[in-house]
Amino acid sequence: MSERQEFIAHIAQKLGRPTPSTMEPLVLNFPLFRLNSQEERIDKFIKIFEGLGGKATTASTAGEAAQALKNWFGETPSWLNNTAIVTWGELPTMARACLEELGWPARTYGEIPAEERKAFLDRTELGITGADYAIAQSGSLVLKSSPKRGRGVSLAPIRHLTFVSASVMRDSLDQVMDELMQEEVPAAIEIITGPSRTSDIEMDLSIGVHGPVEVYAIVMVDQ
Amino acid sequence: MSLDNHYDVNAALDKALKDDFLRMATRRATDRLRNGKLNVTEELGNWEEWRQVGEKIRNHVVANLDYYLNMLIENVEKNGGHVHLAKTPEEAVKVVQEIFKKHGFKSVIKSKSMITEEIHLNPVLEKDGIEVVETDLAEYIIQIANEPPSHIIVPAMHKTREQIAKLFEPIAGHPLATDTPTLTKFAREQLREKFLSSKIGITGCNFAVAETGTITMVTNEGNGRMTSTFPEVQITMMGMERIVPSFKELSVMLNLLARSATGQRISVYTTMITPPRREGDLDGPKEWHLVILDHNRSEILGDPDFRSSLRCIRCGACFNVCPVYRQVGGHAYGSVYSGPIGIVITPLLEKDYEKWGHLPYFSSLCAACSEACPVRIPLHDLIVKHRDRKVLKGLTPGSEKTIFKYYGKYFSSPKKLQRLVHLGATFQPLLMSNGRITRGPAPISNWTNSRTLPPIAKQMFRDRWPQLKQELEKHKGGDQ
Repeated sequence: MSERQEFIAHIAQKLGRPTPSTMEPLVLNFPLFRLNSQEERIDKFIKIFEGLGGKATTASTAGEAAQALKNWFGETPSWLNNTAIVTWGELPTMARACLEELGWPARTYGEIPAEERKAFLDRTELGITGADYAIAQSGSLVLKSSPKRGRGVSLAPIRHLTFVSASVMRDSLDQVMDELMQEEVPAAIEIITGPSRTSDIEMDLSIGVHGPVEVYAIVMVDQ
Repeated sequence: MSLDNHYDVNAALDKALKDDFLRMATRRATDRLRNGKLNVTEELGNWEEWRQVGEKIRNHVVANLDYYLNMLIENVEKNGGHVHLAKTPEEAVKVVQEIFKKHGFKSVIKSKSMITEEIHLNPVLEKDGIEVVETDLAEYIIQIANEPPSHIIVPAMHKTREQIAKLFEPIAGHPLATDTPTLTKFAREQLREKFLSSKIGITGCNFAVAETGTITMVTNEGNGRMTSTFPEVQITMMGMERIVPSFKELSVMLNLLARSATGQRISVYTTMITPPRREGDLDGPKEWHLVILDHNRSEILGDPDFRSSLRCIRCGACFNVCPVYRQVGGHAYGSVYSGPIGIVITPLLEKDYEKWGHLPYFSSLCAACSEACPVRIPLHDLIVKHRDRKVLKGLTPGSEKTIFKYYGKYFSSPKKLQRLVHLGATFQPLLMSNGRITRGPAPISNWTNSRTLPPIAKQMFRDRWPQLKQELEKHKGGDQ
């Protein structure tokens, strides 16, 4: 018997029966959070996201998105330089067009040599990513990793901006999980809900411990 | 401070009860967490249904743990991870030591993991000359203070900001202001450098998904993400019961956990990692080890009285409603896991009623814990069962045995009881002032040292009964 077989057999013995070879899936039927329309979902998402301390808005064109960024960061952000912005390799078209319109230089995470990547990230001011899903009920963004979607981009910079399509806005986590079950599982799925926070010092809420201090979302809607 | 040695329950309780800040901080933390939980559970509208589903999922997993564990191991290995099965804490520690030896790493970053507390990993690694850096802010604070966690969710809630600033000072090399932003920023900067330079990370695991080999960690600070994103090698430590079948059940459990633990709809970072990194990925560990710990969990599984305790998802909701925990905080328990769930699992995990037999008495049996539990563990019933077992094992203190011997003798005979009460009524003036019993001989003094007792009535009910009976019958007659 291998170590593993022994370990499992010991548990089976404690359970007083042989290890089953198949298992009926659990049936879980109970009412879950549901909204009625896309508008409701977007409104709820923005409300909850901002309640967590983030800033979010809808945009139907790159111009609208660029205006939102100017509103948030100023015409030319004080922190802007050639290495201030880092992005995923795989960005929504609107995000690329928005950056072009603003004329803000941005580096792609994957293009930075592997040995410099961490040090580079540490100096960045803004990380820009897309998202696979958004969740209205909790104001969450769901990001799957891939070679063109580095995990550090949404984690290490001081600010994180996400471009998410309104078409992937879901009511609640269960819907997202159901869809994720149908898809190939990547090395990481990050469900991000607001800025990094802690209440570890005298239960006093403090924003921005290890992850981003500020979070922003552009919900891309059809024209 | 090592709680394992020289632990004296009365001394620990005295210390806790005299610490005004600790008691205020414990009330503050538990109130905050409990009220937060109430808000986000009420908004669901059907919290009781959620609890029932949570119970069903966890019962199903526990009852089929061999099946799901097998599936998890297969999938982790298929993905390219290394699985290590540890029967004892010693075996688990050894696995980790071997990984360090193989790579020659001399420092490690850790995100919060109760399992590493349970197996006392840090002191062993440090003895091997490895620098261990806790990265959860609270864990970082108590690591510097060399103290164990005082709460499962907010482990440093017993520290004042002044104490925290003092702890940080030698590292900073200059005095620090005591406001939260300054202290948080200091920790961010200190730990950022560690995150980016560390070659190896150790994390815990909130839920492992059997169907995919995915490990889910929930954090609010982002340290769990840092620890699982930047190091080349990652070790994940989990108790063997910490499994869900698929993403479907995971969704329910994440709702239950975040809402119960901190009153959030979902934690800031829910990290679902299925390591190692894929071909071409830019970050994430290249080498991944999953250490699965038994440590008498299989014994609990084989014990029908206590099997339900394996449903626990370590949310800490039972701490926040416990009237005993709220008075004394976590350190007074002397165990790694405190609060009601700590009372239940510690004697079982450690298989030691002699050392941990005091724990089941850290409860008023009010059942608030059972009501708060998101997976409906009947905690107060289990605490009573522990008291039973302790008695059956003959571990009752001699004084208690004597008291109950006499209690049995006098309370089983009306005549003897009557005689005893009359005796008490005659002599009690010696112990009384202002109409109350204020000073008793041992063991009554345990009570009268801090409060008073009402005196025994001058005339017993039994003595009055013949007269009362007459009156009652007269009354009845009048009615007819």
